Order: sequence, then C-alpha cells, then structure tokens
Amino acid sequence: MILPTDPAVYLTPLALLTLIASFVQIRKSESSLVRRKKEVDQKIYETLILREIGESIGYELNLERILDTIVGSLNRLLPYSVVGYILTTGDQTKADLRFHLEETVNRSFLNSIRTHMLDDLTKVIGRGIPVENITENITGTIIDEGQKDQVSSLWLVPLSISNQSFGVLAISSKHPGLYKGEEMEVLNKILAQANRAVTNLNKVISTEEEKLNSMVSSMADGVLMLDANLGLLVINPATIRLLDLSENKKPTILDIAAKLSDKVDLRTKIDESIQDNKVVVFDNLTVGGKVSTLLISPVKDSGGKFLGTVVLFHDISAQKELEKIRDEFTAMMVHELRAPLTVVRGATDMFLRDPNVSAQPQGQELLKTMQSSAGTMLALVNDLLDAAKIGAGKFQILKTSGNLTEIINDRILFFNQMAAPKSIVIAADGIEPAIMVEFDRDRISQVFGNLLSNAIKFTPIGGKIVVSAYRVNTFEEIKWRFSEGKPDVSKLKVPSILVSISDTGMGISSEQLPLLFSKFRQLHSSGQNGTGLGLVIAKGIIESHEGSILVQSKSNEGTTFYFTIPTV
Amino acid sequence: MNTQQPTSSAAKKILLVDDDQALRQLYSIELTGRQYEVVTAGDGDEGIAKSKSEKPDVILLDIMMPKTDGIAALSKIKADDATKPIPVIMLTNFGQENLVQQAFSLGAVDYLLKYKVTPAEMAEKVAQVLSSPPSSS
Repeated sequence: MILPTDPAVYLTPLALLTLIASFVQIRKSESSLVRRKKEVDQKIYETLILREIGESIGYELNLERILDTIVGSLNRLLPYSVVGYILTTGDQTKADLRFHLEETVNRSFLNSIRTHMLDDLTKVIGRGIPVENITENITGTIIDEGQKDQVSSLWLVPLSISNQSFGVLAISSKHPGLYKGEEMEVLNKILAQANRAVTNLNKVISTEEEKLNSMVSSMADGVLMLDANLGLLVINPATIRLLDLSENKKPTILDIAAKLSDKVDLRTKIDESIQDNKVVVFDNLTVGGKVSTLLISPVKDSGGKFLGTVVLFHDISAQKELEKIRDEFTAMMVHELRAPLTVVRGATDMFLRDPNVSAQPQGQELLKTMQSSAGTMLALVNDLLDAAKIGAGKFQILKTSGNLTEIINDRILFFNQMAAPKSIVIAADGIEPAIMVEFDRDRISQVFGNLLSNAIKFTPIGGKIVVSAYRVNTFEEIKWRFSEGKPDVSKLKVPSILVSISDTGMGISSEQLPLLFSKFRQLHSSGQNGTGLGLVIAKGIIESHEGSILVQSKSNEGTTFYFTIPTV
Repeated sequence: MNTQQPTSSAAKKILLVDDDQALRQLYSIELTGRQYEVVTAGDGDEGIAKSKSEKPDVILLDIMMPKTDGIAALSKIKADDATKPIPVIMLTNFGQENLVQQAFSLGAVDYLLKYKVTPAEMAEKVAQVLSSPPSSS
C-alpha cells in the first residue's frame, strides 16, 4: 500500500483506532448501550479529526488536506480499488481531480469513474467545468492496460461545507456487490461528521477572523501583518492614514518601507526581529504628523514554527503633547513664582546694604511691593494646592447656611476698586436682597473672585461686567439662555440658584471653550499672565457644591459664565 | 521727528522695559538711587516707542511680555538706525540657551537673569556698559 507522502494526511494512530472501533461498534449496533458507546466514540472521533485538521492545517482551511486525511485512512474501513475526489477551485470555474489507486486498473476504469464524478459535480454545483480547466493527479499503484476489470461497485457522495457543495468523492471496486451495507452508513456518518467539524471550525475561524478584522480595523494604532515571505496579509485603516498610502491600491511592504525610508529601515528591523526572535522597538518615529513607537514582533504557532511578523505603530502623540503641556505649565509656574521672589530678594538686598532706605519714601514703597509680592506668591501656592486637591478628588468644603446676595455685593464692591483703573464698572442686576443657600462662604467668595478678576482681565477699557442671580426650577429655565450650542445639563440639579457673570470682553472662540476648565491649559491668546488655574479651581468648588459651571461666549461681544448652587 | 539733542552733562538715561510692575519699581529705586534718570515701559511696543522718543543711554529689556516680546522688540530696536547704537541689556528670568543665543546674535550687549543678579549687580552692569566705548557698528 502506498499512501501520500505528506505526513499531514496521516491520521494519528489514536484517530485510526477510534475510526475502526466505531466501525466495529456500529456492526453490532442493536443495544442502546452500544448506541451510547457509538455516540461517545463519534464524539471522540469528531474531536480527534478536529484536532487533526487543526494541527495539520492551522488557520488555513485546506480542503485537499482534509480529504487526504480521510482518504489516507479509508483502506482500514473499506476494501476498494480506486478512491477519487474532485474539488472545485477558485470561483468554481476550475477543478482538481485526484485518484488514489489501491489496486492496478486500466485507464478506461478511471475514465468511467471520472465521467460519473463530473456528472455528479455538474449537478451539485449547478454548472459544468470545461475539460481544459480540470487537472488530474494520480497516486498509489500503477495504471495497467493489461487489466480488463470494469467498475463493478461505485459509491459517489457530494462534498459540501456549510451547505456549499464544492466537490464529489468516489469509491470504486472491481468487485461487485460492495458499498451497500452498514459500512457505507459509517462512511456517510464520518463524512457528515467531518463536514460538521469543518463547518464548526469554519465558523470559529470566520468569527475569529471577523473579530480580529474588526478589532484591527477599529484600532487607533497602525497594524500590519506580514507572512513569512514579507507578503502583506493585513493593513488597517490607521496605518493607511498614518503613512498616507493610497486607499485604492493594496500596498506592498516595499511601498510601506519607502514611506519610512528616511526615518527607519523597516526591512532591516523586521529581519532583526526574525533573526533574534524578539520584539524590536523603535522609539519616537515621527511620521504623518504623529509621534509613534514602532514595535516589530515575530509570530509563531504553538509548535514554534515562524508564521510571519506583526508591525505596530503605537501612537504616542497625545502622551507627548501632555508631556509638553506639563513642561510648559511647570516652566510657567516657575516663572510666575520667580518674579515675586526676585522682588523680595532684591528688596531685602537693598535694605541690608542701606538700613536708612526703609525710612525714606522709596523704602516704604519697596516694603509695600514686597508685601504684595509675598501675597502674590501665597495666592499662587494656594491655587496650586487647591488644584492638586481637586485633581486628586480630595477637595473639601464646609457648608453653612448664608445669604448669597451679601457675598455678591461684597465681591462687587471689592472688585470695582480693581476695575477702576480700566474704567470698568461691575454692576448687580436685579438680585433679591436675600438668597439663602447652604454653601461654603469663603469658597464661593473665591469663585466670584476668580470669575470677576478674569472678567476684568479680558474686558477692554470702559467695558461693563454684570452679575445676576436667579432661582431656577426647571432645566428649561437654564437652557433657554444658551442661544448657541446646547449646554451640558446632564449633571445639573434643580431647583438651584443660577448665577451669571457677563462681560463685554473679547470673547472665547468655540475651539477654546472646551479647554477652559482643564488644568495646564491657559489660553494664550492675550499674553495675560496668571496660572490659568482660576477656572479649574472655580469648577472644583462649584462641583463640590453639586452645582455646575457653564460658559457661553461670542467673539468680540463678550463671555458669560454661569454657575449653579442647588437649593434643596 | 525728534530733534532734541541729549544733554550730555545730565544724568544718564535708562529705559527699563518690563511688564511686572513690582520689578519695575525695584529696579527703578536702585537705579535712581545711583543718580540715573529712569524711564519705564510696560510692554514691548511701549519699549520700542520709548527707545526712539526718549533716546536712552541703555535699555534694560525683559523677554516675556505682552504684545511684542523682548526678542521681537530687540530686533526692531536694532533694525532702526535711530535706536541701533543704544546698548541693550536683556534682563529676564528665562535663560534657555536658544534665547540667549538669539539675543546676542541680534546685538544685545549682555544677558542678565533676574533671579541670579541682585539689583546692585544689575546697576553695576549698567555702569560697566555705559563706561565702555560704543560699538563701532
């Protein structure tokens, strides 16, 4: 007996034993116990053939190999002269026919089987395949024209997976009267079983493939998968965008390497990862306006066989941007602290050199300047501490019952002095004399301070700032104030007191509005100094009161900040 | 056009350009105490204008300022024939190498870091610049 030389076609000895065992068991198939045993055996067989198929073909479903696996073990199950199968390839316009000769036969014996097989194939796939598109392959023993035997027994079965026919299997013998008994049932069952197993495997594979594809497609990072010969298997949209590749033409590894040629030698890096069997990392790859970390990793199957390479472009632009913002923030904070410290140190130096200075008018001025510099530093450090506490979720407020109107009037009075040099007037607009709320008096006062000092800073000379406070009972009463864009009222609570502070300043562009309340983000439009933490802290204080802070702005018309304090 | 000639026998005039009011005051007190006449400007634009109108003998120039920053102001002062010969000392808290190089290549005579020099040391540097011969360019 000569079997195909490919080791993949051999069933494992265990599978063979099971196959034979199930055949033997079926022959005595009467008692229910035996039937149970049979079912168990079939289950074992199914598992084994699945494993066999899985191990021999991996993730590539090669139908020929599956059939070879079955054909290779067939002689243990049945006597036969010739077994053959025909499989369609491509889009069912071509076919491969393979005969395995267990016994010597003549050509007309094969032709007779061939005719039957082609007839059946035409029936099951619904079309004929031209003769020139059929390749034939014969293994096993030799064709001997001296043989005169005719086909006396023939058994044909269509082959299908997932209800799609793709071929025909034929078993033939010179001897008459075969293939009618129970053994054909077994073969049918095995084929059905194999079909089911393959169908299941197909489903698993296609589900896994879909999962992998959708995962890879939706990834923000660029992913490439290459086979062992550097053929491109998968490229996701993120890579196409990052490398600015044509969407229509499927790129090759050469196209990709060319796009990166002035930054990194991709081919060399891939070779390095394959040779050293390790993940190769290339940091800070700047391409397509983004900073990426390039990771090249060899892929092997469970047996250690090299399958290909995965290349990942991990986008670290956001991380880099954050680092930059933090660095800028730190630099700015250092600058903001250095200026008053420079004043304090310079002034003390002057006093120490000339003790009489303090008695003179300019000495008094210097002392006042030192005092205000120290105050500036203290406020700065307090702001930093507050922002850090808010950021860490450790900010605490101390609520007492009090009159909000008093606070508003007190702050308006205080900030009108600061606004006077710019001829800006701060006015209250129709506020009830007593609005009683539960709040942290000092902290809400700080919110007014931050919002009013901002308003003064960004309002031109002669401008106006108006402060209002209303009781609101429904979301609608808040929403209608927003002529453009819908405020995020999801966290808003009613009933509340809604406070508004409107200025006639330069306004804030819609792109910058979302950045307003984020740490490290001072809007640089004005060259105004400050830490930019005022709004972060105001938001933290208001949210600690379970209120919301909202903003609406129109360029060159002004900005209105709103905040709410819930009144239970 | 300003045709007024500087009165050479009078006190030397220093233009101090800085947006920080407290620092302006500190340095003004130090310089006036040394019999200099001090003129101040609160931003780059004002600094450029006063370097022309006031005809100072030395300019002390901050870098981080609103409107026009110190580097841009320096390049404008040095691009104008009327103000080009005035020695400019950078007086800032930013000491990045690229800023220092930029300032010197634009024609600054010195670069002082506020947090490193005391007002007295700053004043001595001013005196030193005033006593050195004007550059030939």
